[in-house]
Amino acid sequence: MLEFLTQLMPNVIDKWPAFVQACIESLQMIAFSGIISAAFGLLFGVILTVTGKGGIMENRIIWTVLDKLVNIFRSIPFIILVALLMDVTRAISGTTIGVKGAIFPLIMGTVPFFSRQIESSLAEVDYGLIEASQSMGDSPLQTILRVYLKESIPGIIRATTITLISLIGLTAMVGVVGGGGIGNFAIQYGYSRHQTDITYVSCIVILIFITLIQSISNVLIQKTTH
Amino acid sequence: MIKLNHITKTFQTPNLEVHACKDVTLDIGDGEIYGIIGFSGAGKSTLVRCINLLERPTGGTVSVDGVELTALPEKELRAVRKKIGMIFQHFNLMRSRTVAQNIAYPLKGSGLSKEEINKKVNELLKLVDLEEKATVYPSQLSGGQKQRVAIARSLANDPKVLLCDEATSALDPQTTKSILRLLKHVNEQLGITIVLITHEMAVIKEICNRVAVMENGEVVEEGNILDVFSSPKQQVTRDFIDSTSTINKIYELIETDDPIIQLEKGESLVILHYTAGNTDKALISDVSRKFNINSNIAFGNIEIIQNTPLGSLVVKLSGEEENIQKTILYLREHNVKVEVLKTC
Repeated sequence: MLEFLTQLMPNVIDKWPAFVQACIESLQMIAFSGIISAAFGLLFGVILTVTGKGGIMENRIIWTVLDKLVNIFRSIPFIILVALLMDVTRAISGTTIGVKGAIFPLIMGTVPFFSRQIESSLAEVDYGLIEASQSMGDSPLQTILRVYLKESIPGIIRATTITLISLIGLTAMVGVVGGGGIGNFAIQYGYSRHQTDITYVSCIVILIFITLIQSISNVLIQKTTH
Repeated sequence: MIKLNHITKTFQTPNLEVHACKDVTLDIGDGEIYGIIGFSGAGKSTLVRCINLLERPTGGTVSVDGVELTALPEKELRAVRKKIGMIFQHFNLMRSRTVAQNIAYPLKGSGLSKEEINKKVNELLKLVDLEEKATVYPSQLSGGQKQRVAIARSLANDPKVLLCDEATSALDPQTTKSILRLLKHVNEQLGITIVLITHEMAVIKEICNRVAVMENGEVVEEGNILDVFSSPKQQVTRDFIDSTSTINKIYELIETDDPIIQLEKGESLVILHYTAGNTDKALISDVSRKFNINSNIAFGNIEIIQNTPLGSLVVKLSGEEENIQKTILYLREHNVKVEVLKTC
């Protein structure tokens, strides 16, 4: 068996511990930046929704500032954003390389995207439900929690899936600029040293990640849609 | 119960001001079913939202059950809103919640225990006749059933007032009738004051005690439904009344010279408008006997409004010219409005 595998992907087997390490690093980056981005993205998405025009807590100033910030960070290509944020990253994380150095730029790249995704899921909540909630004496916070968030759970799951998949893309990209993980592994060996089996295997690993996420998401959406 | 005092509501758009309500003053009594009718854009939906301050009026005051809502801070206003139920044209049920969870929605934070909430929900389900649907999601219900759930939800906090915003406009006539029956039942059994917004005169006719007619943000006519129906003052009111009556078909028939109204020598075609209180008298046979004329009813439209028959008849009178004149006078003396359409 091992012989067969060695024949099939000699370089991967040769660097097996480094490969496993790269997979772990990728998962770490996805998990840490994913959780933090989800929290901020959800918060900003809600703020964008309720402070917008006609929203339940309409506030022009907060909305304009947040909207512009999201736009700015979404327009900068991620690879340039990483370079741009280097000093801030160093100040916050103490380093710009490895998993530690990658988390902050990943968050900065993901939060604006996720905020917009959340905003558009919440926009699909029928305004009639908001009115109904208000007519029943709900406070703005209750309306947010019990109607906006609760009623758009399938939409939020969908948004999370799309964001996670895009985040996986970003974690591979930070590999190019010293971020570690599978991206780094594939570039370092597969690309720079022409060990194509490493590129293929890296690709397959990422594919498995994404398939898993998509399948779990589909099940959850089905279970929460009534 | 509800006092609207000089309510104005103006929406600012960049180019123009939209006056949705202009100086509306209404006094809705305890236990009434009060209808507000108007064509779309007349401002009736805005007006009903001014009652629970979903729309805050630009000017004027709103009082419900002796409390001036327009003077309350947000937090107290929210407490008062729990006592003002509201149902909507598109039901506005929460899709992610079952029927029972939807009905229990307004009870969260009411201090009731889980068992008490369950008990209350079951009572309400029974009231709206949907006991077997408790665990079903709204997407599996028909429109009428959804509105029943919405009614149950609006009653969860034992409100004193129920606001209905075009509550039957998305329903077929059969279902509309059953929802109106339920509203009437709620009004009679629980003593809840109902304010009903609609563009269908049939709805008003079916259950309201009083009606206000709105046009361009103003209440142009207001009063007891019987008075409004028997002697409408405004054109828009007449249009609404005509929309539920077939009597105007006579004018089409005259225009096309339909055989049904062909007259022979000495006949007159008249239309009789009955107002409150004289429809139950046998006037037609009265005049036939008294003045020796023949009365042939071509067609008619008599409605029962608040247990009083009301409506119009198209009648062919034949006999001596003089006797026909006497007949018309006699009918007029008995408060029947007589209009001679054609003589031969």
